[in-house]
Amino acid sequence: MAWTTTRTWTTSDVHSAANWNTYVRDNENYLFDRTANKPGIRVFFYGTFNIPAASTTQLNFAGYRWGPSGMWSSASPGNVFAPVAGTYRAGMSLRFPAGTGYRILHVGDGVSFHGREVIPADNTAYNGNLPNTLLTLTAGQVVNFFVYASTADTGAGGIGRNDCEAWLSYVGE
Amino acid sequence: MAWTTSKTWLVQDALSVTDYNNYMSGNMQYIYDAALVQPCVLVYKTAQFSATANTDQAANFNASSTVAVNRGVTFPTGGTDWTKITITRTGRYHLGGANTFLQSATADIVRTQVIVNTTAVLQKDKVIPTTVNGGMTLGVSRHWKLSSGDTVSLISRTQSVRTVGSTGNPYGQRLFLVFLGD
Repeated sequence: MAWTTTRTWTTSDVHSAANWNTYVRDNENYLFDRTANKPGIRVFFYGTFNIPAASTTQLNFAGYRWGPSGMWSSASPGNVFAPVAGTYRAGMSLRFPAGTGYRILHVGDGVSFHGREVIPADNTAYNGNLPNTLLTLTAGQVVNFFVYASTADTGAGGIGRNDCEAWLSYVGE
Repeated sequence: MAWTTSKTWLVQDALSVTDYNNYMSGNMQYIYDAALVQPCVLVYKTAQFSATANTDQAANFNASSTVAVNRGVTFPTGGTDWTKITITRTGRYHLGGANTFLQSATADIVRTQVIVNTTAVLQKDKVIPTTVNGGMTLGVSRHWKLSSGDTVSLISRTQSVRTVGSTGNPYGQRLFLVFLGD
């Protein structure tokens, strides 16, 4: 349901049920759904997984925190859904094992990649953190999270559920 | 449209059209505008450039750039300056930016800055050794109070001649801000 610009009332206006439903009920619900109850979720993966060399791998998640269940489901563990149209803030973080070469984190909206973060490898475990980027999404649009590794990684993600996580939160229209 | 402090009603108060427009329609529209159509910007670019040593370089988001979100600000500033976003609403913002620095044979300290007017409000320096393979993104973000008329820019700086920008698609430099509240 769309926002309706609030009405400037005049003395001759009839305060009808239709007006009340449009300008008060629907607009209040619209505000509630996008402010106090705004969509947002953090998804995570715990355990380790392999990232092949020189390829872009989509991350799959095992669970979620602090979000409506409609934004993520184990049936499609790589997909995070935007429940309403608007601007969203997205980010991710991932722990890598020791390696060589470099890694790239980015977010995809089904059309293109966003928010690229290039991370140089070193000889100890290291962490990538794509702080934030903004996406303009339609209702139901899928967001995916990706990692590229120039050389293969074995055991990315570590063992804790906070070693691989991503987030998507509604910002505004 | 300004916020009208909510009224405490008394039994004998009449509900006038003016009251209705101020306390119901006006305030509801104010919340909508402030919360949901607040200023919000993301610009990024894919082009590479060769940085001049020891020189602050403002990212020019004109060529090979995308303005992914652009709401509630003036950009480009003055209609032609693609290095500056001009704030049109005073308030608290989540502000951030990032540069990607490519591999070089020279060890270097690289810098990402976000400046408001002429003052750096976010800055991070990091050593990028010669062994870095593929490059490195250096990002910053912070909450900051901005005033209407302030300009915001992304700066990169290197100690030696080095390529800055994308290592391919998608992008290597970006600047964003999101209005948080009054």
